[in-house]
Amino acid sequence: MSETVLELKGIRKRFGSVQALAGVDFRCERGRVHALLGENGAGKSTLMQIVSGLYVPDAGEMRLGGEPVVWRSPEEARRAGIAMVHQHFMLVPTMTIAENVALARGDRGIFRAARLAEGVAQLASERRLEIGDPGRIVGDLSVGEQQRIEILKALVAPTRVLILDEPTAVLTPDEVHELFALLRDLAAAGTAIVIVTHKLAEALSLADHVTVLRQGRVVGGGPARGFDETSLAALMVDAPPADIAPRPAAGLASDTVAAPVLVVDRVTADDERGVRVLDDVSLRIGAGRIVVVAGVEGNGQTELVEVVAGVAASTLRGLRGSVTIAGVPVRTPADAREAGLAVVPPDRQRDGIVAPLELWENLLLASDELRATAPRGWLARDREIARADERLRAFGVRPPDPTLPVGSLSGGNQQRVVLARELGRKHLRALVAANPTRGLDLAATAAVHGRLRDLAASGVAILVLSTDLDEVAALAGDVLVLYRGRLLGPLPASASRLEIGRLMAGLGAAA
Amino acid sequence: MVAVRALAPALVALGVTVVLAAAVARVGGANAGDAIRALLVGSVGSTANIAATLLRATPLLLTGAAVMLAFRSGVFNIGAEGQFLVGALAATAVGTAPGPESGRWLLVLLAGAAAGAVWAAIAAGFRIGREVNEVITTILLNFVALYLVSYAVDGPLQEAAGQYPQSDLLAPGAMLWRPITGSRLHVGVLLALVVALLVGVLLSRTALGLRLRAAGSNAPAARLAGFPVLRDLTVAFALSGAIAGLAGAVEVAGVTGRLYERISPGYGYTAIAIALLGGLRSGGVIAAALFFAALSAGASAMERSAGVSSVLVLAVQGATLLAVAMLNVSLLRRFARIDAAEGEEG
Repeated sequence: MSETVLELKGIRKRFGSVQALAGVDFRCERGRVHALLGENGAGKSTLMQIVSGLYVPDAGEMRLGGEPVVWRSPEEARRAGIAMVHQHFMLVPTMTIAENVALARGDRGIFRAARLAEGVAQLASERRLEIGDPGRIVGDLSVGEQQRIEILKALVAPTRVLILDEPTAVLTPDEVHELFALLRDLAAAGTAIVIVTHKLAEALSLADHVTVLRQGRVVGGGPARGFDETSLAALMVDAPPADIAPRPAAGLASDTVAAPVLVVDRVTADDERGVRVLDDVSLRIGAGRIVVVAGVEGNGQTELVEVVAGVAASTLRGLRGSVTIAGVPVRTPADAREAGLAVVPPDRQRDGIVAPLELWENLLLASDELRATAPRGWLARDREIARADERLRAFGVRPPDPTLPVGSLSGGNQQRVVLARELGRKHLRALVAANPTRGLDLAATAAVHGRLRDLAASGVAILVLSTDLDEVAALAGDVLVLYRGRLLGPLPASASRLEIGRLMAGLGAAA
Repeated sequence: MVAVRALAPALVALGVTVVLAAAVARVGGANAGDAIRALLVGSVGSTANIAATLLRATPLLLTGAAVMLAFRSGVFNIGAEGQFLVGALAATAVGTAPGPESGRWLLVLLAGAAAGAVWAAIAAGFRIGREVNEVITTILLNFVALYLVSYAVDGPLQEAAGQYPQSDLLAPGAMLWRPITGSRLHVGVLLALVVALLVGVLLSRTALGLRLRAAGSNAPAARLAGFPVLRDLTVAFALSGAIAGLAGAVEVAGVTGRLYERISPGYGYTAIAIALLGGLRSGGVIAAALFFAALSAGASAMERSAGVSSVLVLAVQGATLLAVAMLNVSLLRRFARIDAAEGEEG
């Protein structure tokens, strides 16, 4: 007998010009595992952040155990029995397991290590969680163990709904198995479980129910046994094959590219955990060509940008293979810049801007550009401000005041500043851009795509990494797919969105 | 709006100081009006008193500029004190050595700057090579410098008479020019002003300054831009140390004429307060250094003529700092909240 614990009706939420949720219904039941599926930006995270009290919906109704509820804070949701395990762990790495749990529980007074550890060990066994010695330092634990501590933290108080955001993103396959066993146990004990994911196979192997979101709407769902991976992928990416712009015939990644400008040759690398993130990746991009690498985040995009930009030596381990731009080997970021590479990094707040610096100064954050601007080391402030003013207006940065600190702009406008700098470089031979239009509205997105095509027409070799199938289609370049660090393709010009979507989800070539 | 924000700490500092000084005077049993008048007269009331204030401001201004350069470059140099001391030590060694005298003062200044740069470069080496935080290394190096000075004035650099733990006087040609007869005012005052302004120009008007600030606020972004981040970091350490070392040399060659243990009453630490009070801007740092110098020059006058202990004035100085620090924190918080709200939309 199933019993509805949480029910949402007509939930709407808008951020600026983006309608993140456009009337979503959702419910989950006691003792069941529910998978919430969708591409990046479909609205999954926003929906769960509303459930857990981080955001207030613009409209709609939420019922918990049949009672209408409105959360004024995440704490209120927590007290009512809704717990969330975030994708990025919220643990204090220098403290012990027991101390982290005590923090989550809001313990007060004087801690006695031995008694605290005993209490936490007992709590863990009551919740049927294997945590080992609670006196261990969290920073020494594996990622899978750390996640279990996060789950224990979520379960310190009585929990009716446990939400996990992309719980398998950072786990090894063995850890995924252990996690799933644990979640099934918790469900069997009566908790309603929601996992937010874009991994179809995992959703189907674990969940009783699935709900698919696309562009802020529910586009399908029901008992998991009624779906297979193909039908879910079709729901997630939608779109008839007809709306894909015709692409020039594929012919890259092979030796047929005459005089390639940007060459990635057999690059393999591991991240700091020792997990392989790039596996024998090769690319040859000729002057004037656009290559789009599609892929779900976490499959090696960030790392591929780092390799091309020359920063991988300090961020990745066991780096093998080589990158050359216009025949010049790239070993450092300075090499890449001097060879004429523009970079639009995936995390613009971290890598693309320097928040306290003014807009005009941010436009000079490229070593070759800065040298050309100040050959004797002196910055001509007034001249640079005038030049910046033009570039900022051309890219629609608001407000277009070159003397504002870039940190005072909204995220979308910061993205425009990065684009104004990188696409507006004087010395430009190759470009690597990760999700270049994320955070932009439709008109700005179209303008950026137009610019990229213009740059290609002027002879620049362009590599775009994108999680967005609309972007893949709009750029009309050669398409490859990056999945678990391996490049698949090139895809034939006739490839449909569905086929690309299936490859992105790791389903191999379309039947 | 921007002007208000920049001026707010200075106005608050001034207000808090006046109110507290009056209160302190009452507690000390003096007339509040008399005390504040004494404070003003003692600091800026006569040519001689202004000169005294400027003399006190010079080491504060130089070390303050050193800290400002470091902080803007993301280098938390807490070691201006130690760099000041090794600068004074090297300046004394060069200034008391035998040899030709003409132009010796220039060698003295260069020696001080070089010693400060080397002292700071040690901390740079630890940070780059071993990832040891410079807050720790520079503080520890302060103690090493302190005891190095103690050893020197009791050993190799002790005066020929061998009586006190102090060095001989510098050779006359090693001393800085005093343009006004009868006044101890020396050209180092001007030098300090020029250096403080140059640090501002370096940071805001040169490619190196832009690279330093970029690396200081966001090293990953600076690295991706292709900037030589590690080299620039070393330059920031060394330049900051050189300026603090120069301060030590100027103090020896301009004021004291010799080295002794307590040559610095904590200039390098007050410098941190001055740099922060001045908003890490040249103009602000100059104003803050003058303000602190005036307060300490005025304090002695307040003690003499109004009978208020100068120790109480030091307490006022501390309270002023606290008030400004709190104001800065609340400003920072407000900015952080605006940033967070805007970040969410993106």
